[in-house]
Amino acid sequence: MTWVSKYLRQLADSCATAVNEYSTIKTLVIGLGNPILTDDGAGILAARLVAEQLPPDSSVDVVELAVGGLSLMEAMVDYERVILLDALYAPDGKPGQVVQFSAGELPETLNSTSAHDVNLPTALRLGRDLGATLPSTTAIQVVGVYAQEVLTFGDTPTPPVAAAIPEMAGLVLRLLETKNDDFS
Amino acid sequence: MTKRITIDPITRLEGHGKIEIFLNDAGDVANTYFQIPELRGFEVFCLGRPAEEMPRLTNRICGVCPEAHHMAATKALDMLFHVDPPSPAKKLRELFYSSFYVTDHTTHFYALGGPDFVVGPDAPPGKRNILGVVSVVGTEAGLKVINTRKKNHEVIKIIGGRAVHPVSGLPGGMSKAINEEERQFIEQVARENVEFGLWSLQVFSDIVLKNTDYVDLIVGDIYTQRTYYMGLVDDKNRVNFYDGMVRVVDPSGNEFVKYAPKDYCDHIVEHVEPYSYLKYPYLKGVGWKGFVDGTDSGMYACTPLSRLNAADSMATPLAQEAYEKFYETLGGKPVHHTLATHWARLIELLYAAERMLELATDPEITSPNVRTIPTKTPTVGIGTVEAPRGTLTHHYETDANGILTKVNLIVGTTNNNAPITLSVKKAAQALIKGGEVNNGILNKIEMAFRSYDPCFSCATHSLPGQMPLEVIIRDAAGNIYQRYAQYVD
Repeated sequence: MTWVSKYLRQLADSCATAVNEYSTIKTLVIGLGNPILTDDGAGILAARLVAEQLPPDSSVDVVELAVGGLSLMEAMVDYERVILLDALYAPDGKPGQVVQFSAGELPETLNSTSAHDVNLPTALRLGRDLGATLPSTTAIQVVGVYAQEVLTFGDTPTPPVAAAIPEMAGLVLRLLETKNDDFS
Repeated sequence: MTKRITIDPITRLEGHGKIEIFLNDAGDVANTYFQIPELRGFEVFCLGRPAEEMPRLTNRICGVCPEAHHMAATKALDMLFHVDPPSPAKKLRELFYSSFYVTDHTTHFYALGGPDFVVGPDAPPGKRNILGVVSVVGTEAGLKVINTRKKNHEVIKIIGGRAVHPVSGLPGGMSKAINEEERQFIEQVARENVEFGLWSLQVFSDIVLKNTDYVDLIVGDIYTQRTYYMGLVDDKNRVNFYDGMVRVVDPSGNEFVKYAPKDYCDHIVEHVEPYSYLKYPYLKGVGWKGFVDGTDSGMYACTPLSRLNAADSMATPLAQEAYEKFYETLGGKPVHHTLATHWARLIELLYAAERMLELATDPEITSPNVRTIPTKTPTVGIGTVEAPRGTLTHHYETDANGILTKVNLIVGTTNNNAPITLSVKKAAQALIKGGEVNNGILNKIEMAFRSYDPCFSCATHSLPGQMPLEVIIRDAAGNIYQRYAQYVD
């Protein structure tokens, strides 16, 4: 996609000095969503941008998921920090607006849970109760973008959301530069 | 004064249904509407693409059962390209599919359906979840559930080629075979699945069947409706998830029709209601009589319970034992108690585990002969599997170059749309009297459709996780009289 290439170039330029300075904390970046459901694919596209920026020996893993609840929790096992990239919906949300919050603050992502599953906080609690090593709530950051269209199939986001995807990726790259497990 | 109750999960766009209940002057239920928003434009999105993309595209519709879409699409391509996969490929597909069934049914029972019984239908929503199940059944249960899911996901990845969205199904077979080392791992997982299936049935027996309140709830009128039942069966009329003929039995349990999946248009017609995007398929040979049950109504269900009703038996020994106990306990075939679907689901889980073990130990299963290369011009392809939540059919037509000109999908929840609507209506009518509504009553209404394991619009994601619901009771003037919210801020 041309817009991806264009913004990727800009992103690469802006991040060139930071590439070798990422933390060694074992971190997972998860692009969540459905890449053929218009804006719902924003998290996945942003994750792909992030992946292209990371050095090969990075302590950061990047995955794409379309699952919530238990499956999402299971993906986080044994990581110290997690960044979730996702599309958000709110009736008063401005399409294309990028927001960031910790998992404990606002469970407002489209995909963090599933109608066929439990919600993410419940899944995390279950995992911890059962002895799994999971990141703390403050070590799970959500980087989201408000969506405009997530009910119609399409493999390209709407213009405001597409324009915001590099910003999401840039925000993730800055978070990856932080040295502590709570992203400070 | 007419009151209106809305169970409306307003917070999210996907994965939600909406129930509206209208009360009459006496505060009793006059009518109910069950609505499902449907995602738009999938057919348009697909048209003009090469048909062979469909197994990788349709599994993106949904994060809940991508494996089911992958299999239905792959089978549709077999027919489209006029090619019959070699026997090892068919077995490999069914092995993959059996493993998927184990994990999917496990999730539903322990995370969604089970909490109503294990924790209790009147328990507060905050307790009625998998954590509540673990607190009752023990940490061991949670570990078993997580472990079962994890290992079967590994099997799905080995055979399907990817963790979540499988890619290995091709017209004429599979893209790769499995080796002996992989087979041994899969066999071990299958053995553990059989143990897990037996243990789950024991949990159900201990916690549900030994509780007379729960048994009364299951067999009571609230959750009972006499419809036709549909399911895939093999050549001996035994339940099969991957392949076979579609068999429909009438409310008395007699075979009404049995047809090849490719002939579905001769037997299934879709009814449209002005208030719902989602259609209501019914049996052409009976006709649409509205949201009523009985032999004269063409409404049919295709759920785990329906599949058991539509078959004569199970194809594996332990599942057959469980099947016989099921019908002995519930008074013979067919069983019309919707909540018994949870029990039926566990019997299917055991069958899937046993079938997986049979296939994992089949001498052919590591054969490298997993592909017949298509050579004929594509035309029309129809593929049907039993998705965990109902019969799933993919129908494609292409031009001579294999470019899609028609795409039609009938998913499990669509097939069950009419019976879900009726179940909700019956539960609401029985439970809401004199305008009296509380959380326990509304959860019991929700239980009516939760037993179907609905996957709305084949779109999975829903923010608060469990079905977000808001109930608004309105008077005749539309003023809010009472509000109930579950999983809604």
